Amino acid sequence: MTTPAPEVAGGQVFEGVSGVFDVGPLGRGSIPSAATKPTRLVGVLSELKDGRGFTHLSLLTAAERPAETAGLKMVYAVKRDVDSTLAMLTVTLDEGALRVPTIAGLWSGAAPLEREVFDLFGVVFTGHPNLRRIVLRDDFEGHPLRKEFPMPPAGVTTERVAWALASHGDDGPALAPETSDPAHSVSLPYPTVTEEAEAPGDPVLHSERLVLNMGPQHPSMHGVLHLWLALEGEQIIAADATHGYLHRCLEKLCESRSYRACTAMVDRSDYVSGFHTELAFLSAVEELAEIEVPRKAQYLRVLMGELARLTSHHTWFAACGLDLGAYTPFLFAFRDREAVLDFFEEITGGRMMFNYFRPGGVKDDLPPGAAERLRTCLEGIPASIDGFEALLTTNEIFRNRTCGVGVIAPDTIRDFGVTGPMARASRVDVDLRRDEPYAAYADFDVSVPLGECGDTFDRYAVRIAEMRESVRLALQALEGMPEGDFVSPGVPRALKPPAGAAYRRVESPRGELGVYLESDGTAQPWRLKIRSPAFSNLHVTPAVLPGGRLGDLIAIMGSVDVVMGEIDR
Amino acid sequence: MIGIAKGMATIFGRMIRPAVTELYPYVKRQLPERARMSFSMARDESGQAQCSACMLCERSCPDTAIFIESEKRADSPRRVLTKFTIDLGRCMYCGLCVEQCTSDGLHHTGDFENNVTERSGTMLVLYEVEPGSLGLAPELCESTPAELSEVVATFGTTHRDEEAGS
Amino acid sequence: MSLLKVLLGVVVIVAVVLLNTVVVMWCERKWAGHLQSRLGPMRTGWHGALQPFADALKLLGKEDLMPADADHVLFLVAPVLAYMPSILIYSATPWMEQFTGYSFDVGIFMVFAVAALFPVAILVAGWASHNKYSVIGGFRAAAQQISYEVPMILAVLGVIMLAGSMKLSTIVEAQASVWNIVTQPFAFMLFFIGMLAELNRTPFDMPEAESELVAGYMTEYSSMRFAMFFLAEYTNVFTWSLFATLLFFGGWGGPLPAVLGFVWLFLKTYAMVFLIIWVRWALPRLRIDQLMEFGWKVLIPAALLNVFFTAFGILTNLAVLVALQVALLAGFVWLVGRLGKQAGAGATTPAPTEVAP
Repeated sequence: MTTPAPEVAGGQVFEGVSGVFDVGPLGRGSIPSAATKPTRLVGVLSELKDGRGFTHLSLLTAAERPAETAGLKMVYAVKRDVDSTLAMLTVTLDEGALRVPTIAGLWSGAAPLEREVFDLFGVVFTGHPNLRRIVLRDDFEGHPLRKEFPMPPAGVTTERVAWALASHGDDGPALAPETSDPAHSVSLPYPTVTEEAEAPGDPVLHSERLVLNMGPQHPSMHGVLHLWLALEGEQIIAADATHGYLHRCLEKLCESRSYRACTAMVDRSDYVSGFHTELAFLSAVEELAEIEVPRKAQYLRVLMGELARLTSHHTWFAACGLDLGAYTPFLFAFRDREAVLDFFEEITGGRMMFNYFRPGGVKDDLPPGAAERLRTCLEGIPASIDGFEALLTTNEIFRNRTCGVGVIAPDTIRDFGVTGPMARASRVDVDLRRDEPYAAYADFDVSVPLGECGDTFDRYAVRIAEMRESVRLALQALEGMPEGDFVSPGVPRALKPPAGAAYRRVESPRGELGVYLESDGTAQPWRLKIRSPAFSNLHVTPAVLPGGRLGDLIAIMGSVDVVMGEIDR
Repeated sequence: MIGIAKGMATIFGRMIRPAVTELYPYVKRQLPERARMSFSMARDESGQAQCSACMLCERSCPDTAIFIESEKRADSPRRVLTKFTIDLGRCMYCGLCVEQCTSDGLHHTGDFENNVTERSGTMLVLYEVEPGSLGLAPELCESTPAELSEVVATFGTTHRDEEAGS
Repeated sequence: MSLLKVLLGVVVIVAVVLLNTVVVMWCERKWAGHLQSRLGPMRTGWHGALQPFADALKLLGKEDLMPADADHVLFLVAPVLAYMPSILIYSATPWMEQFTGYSFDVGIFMVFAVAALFPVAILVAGWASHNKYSVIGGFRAAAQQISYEVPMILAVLGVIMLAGSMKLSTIVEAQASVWNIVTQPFAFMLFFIGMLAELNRTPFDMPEAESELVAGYMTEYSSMRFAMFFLAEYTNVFTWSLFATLLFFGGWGGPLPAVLGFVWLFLKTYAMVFLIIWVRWALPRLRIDQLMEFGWKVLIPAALLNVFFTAFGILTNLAVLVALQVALLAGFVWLVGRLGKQAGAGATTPAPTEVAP
């Protein structure tokens, strides 16, 4: 069930790259992995990116080293799209020397990821353009994902956390690091709000630049997103996406829950399509614990994943229409979505938080008769998608609002690590279901819609086409459902995977959703990192929004399909 | 204008067909069998809870929303359940407790109308008998660890405060 | 006229207008529901008929806030300034052959003059709120309404030419044989589009675009002040539907005897209200610059063309007039269609690409 990478662990990927050592596969999988020193980091990554074609930054995170050696390690994963090869790099840092050079010069999308690591771990990235906290408030003290940060006993609610912190005190590193000299820091390819707000306007007709806060309480911003804008009249000069209002420290909570309980918790990360995070997490667990998943369970996982993609895209469609003033598609989309949610409830027991996948398979088979009724329901969906298209796709006003608006070039996509329908709309042809088939996707013929020029209309059209494709794939899964076990027998109740690390990715409705899991041999994960596609997708907007108008901003944000639960975790 | 006309025609079509909404609470749905809403404790023939107080549900709950009190029998190592409470306000409806139950006692129900007006109302007592009423050993077992009891006592959840000597 | 008669007239007019506003609000809720496959209000009264009263009671019960930095006088004056023209317009409106507030010789001109007060009220409201969102909304709304009044007036010019008078009752009587919708369909299209912009209804509801500016110029208003803006909006819906009926659909002319003419008038007016509601729930909104471009670059030249060709048609004969109008309408529809399609590359849903392994 592990997906073999074309190259055997490590050898060819890192061959001839100077500055790496400890080359070998990651954990029990086959991802080539190596270690390097902080001083050589940028050089090695440059060589991989420019010399060997690893143009996509997939993962940037940190993990605590085992208890005996104090310190952290930085984990990087880069990917070569052409043959879907991954390469992982680790950099070990000792306590007291938690500094590493930034790679924001290589990938602009690394900047927000490094801010997150700084926020939650306290690693200082030298040369970073704006190293400040991203998910926690600016005056927060401490770095929560360090093991020394007190984790209240399980079951204690928020008011009790305040009590726990007050009694135990906070002994994390100090808040304000010495960031590098701005003259030597990497510059980002977009203007910043504070600079532009103070910049002089037109010298002849002096106009003031307006700094506007859109959100976090706002009828349009999907979830609690705060957009900080510098406006000149209707034009956006600079934008900054501030989030963190939905941060629940899910990753730390999972470190004190059993693996089975974590499945229920990661549902809440991307709450619009929970199956994909469950699948990524459990794939990593199954790799670590070497559990084989039966074919029937794989088919059920594909079926539920495609249904989740369908409902997620329905939700996106509803919100997209609502942003642009079309109130009716919202209700049509939610009406059709209800039919599928009823099936979710019948099969899994929950409409939104499923907790259906298990290590080794799924919780239960389809109830009797459900397959037939689901087939009938799915066969009616393409006709209702036609109805949606009659409302928006051919509508002249919609076309005027979306065609040519918010064009994102493929280079920008790669620079920021954008994946999923947003990338495919800009003709970056990557889809994990087709390129690196996981679950039972090897048996399916996944056709991937691509856009023309990467504008908002293309992102819209690609998602509509994906909805149709999901219906087709779900019907195919129902058709070809094999007989057999729905869960691998003999998986222990209390799972204790042997120590190791795994990084598994799936294609979620928003893009490349990855789970980096480190186990220390106990019943609880040592480190659980969710690579959120919406996080990278959101952070391309400061580069796309400037130059456009306020009305365009709404259309563009509607096409980015943000889910704050996944972004903030 | 064709696109505009198409859109208008589509919604006019919806107008002349019957509406799809149901008037809750006059029309109530029966939820499917697997729906994870509220809980119930099965009883055996003699009316006692079908629970062996193995504590697997309490331990598997990610939120420690389950509070079990049990008694020790004088004549056998098996424990007997005296009180089973689930805090529906803390529960995340994941179903792990029901999955782990070894005696087929804890079940999910499809009862979703559980709103209450006070915090204390969220504690759902599924089974309760007087300690010592079953003619067994009188010692009461605290199921939750000492540190958590302290925390809980400081912030005062309901049933802990009401019981004497807890 | 004696003072008593005047007062009675005022009371009757205000009562009729308020009652119709309430009915329009109920119609909006119910028809919006049915257009979206749902039922709309059902619990407040029979099929939600008392819903507008419930809304009014709710709004009355809210706290009356005023931002500390707001301009007190302007803040208090703005809702009144918004609602006042809504009622004042009815001084010029004829309801039946004999019943009209005051029969102005320049009736239609008076109507437009009073309607031009709305943008002023919105600007005042936006400015007085001392809030960036409100100011932006106020500017947008004022710009929009001023821009779209021009094609409306030009469109109505054709109607005036046909009737030979600006007096509203004369215009209605001139349609006794054939309604203006037949002889001036293009003008009606222009008038309708302009009307939607005047009413700040989708697709022209940028000023109150919920998803962008919260409630635009009304953001800081609560309780009864907000209710006055709200009522003004729905009263205007009724008002402009009424004028559309009077100008283009023959007013009270119809099969019923003259004394029941107002029944026919109301039926036609509510058909117009339905059209407005239908358009609102079907279409997304235009961006403010697209809206302004459309108004100035498309509608105003089209309206001028309408005046020119109507005059030509009047000088020749009726058949030519109708033919020209139909031709103009067809051309307009084609032009708007082209504006949509040429808005950029990649305007087709891409076919899924089959990827060779």
